[in-house]
Amino acid sequence: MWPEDVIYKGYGGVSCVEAGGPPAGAGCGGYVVGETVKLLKELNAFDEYDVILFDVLGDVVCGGFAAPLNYADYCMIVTDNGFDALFAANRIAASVREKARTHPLRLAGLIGNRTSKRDLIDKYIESVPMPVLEILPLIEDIRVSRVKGKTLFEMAESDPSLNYVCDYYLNIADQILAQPEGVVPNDTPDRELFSLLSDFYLNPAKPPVAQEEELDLMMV
Amino acid sequence: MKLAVYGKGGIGKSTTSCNISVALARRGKKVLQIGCDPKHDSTFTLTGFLIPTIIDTLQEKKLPLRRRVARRCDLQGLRWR
Repeated sequence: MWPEDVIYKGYGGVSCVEAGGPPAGAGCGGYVVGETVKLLKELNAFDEYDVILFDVLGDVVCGGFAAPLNYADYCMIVTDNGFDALFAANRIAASVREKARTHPLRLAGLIGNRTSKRDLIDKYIESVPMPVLEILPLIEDIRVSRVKGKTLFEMAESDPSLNYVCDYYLNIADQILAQPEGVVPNDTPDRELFSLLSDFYLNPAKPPVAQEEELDLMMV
Repeated sequence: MKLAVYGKGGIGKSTTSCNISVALARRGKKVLQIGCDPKHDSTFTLTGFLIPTIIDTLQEKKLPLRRRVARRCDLQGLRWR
């Protein structure tokens, strides 16, 4: 088997490979990820590139899906401003902390996605300090790009009004290329964080009492 | 440099990853994106189609995915024995 058998060229000159997995409902997806990543390394595919980006399923659910962390310099966590994504982020942060014991791995930070607000993200990073690389607002074109099979950069070629969206991603790229220090996240136990985040919903901070402004109007 | 993108399912990891990959390429880097998800749709936004997976290719070539087979991979010739 040759690297060319499994590596395909995508938009912008980005090379693409998919590990794949067992049929749905059978076998072990994590095992396949662990083994295929190993296989790519043995095919010397890793040495050919300046940057290798592992896009890994969901939460770190087992050692197999955590395997990319054995090779990575940086982990980045995509989250929205909601409870579940941040609770999952904390599990991923815990995996990074675990792997960082034996590997030169750092957490580059969070990428907020599909959210204009970041109050719960801020609440989380108060408890588990880490950088926030970018917060992307809810933009319908990003959702559309997904199903169209086109990146925002490709869509912006015919619609320059989308260039501002590309800037968010270029900003993330520039921060990563600057080789940031990142963090090895601290240890906030699941249950503690669960209460902290749920408290945010159950006991929302009361909005500041609107002060009655004296109206300076003159009736004519 | 190797990056690993994680996050809760359905949060937009793949879309974010694909756009970051292109952004890195725009900065002159040679980039490889590896989709580590049995749903194998990580790179769809980059290629516009669902590319065959490593597992598909191994099955087509009737090569088992086993550690002992991987060990028999000829590192110089990049060819399976």
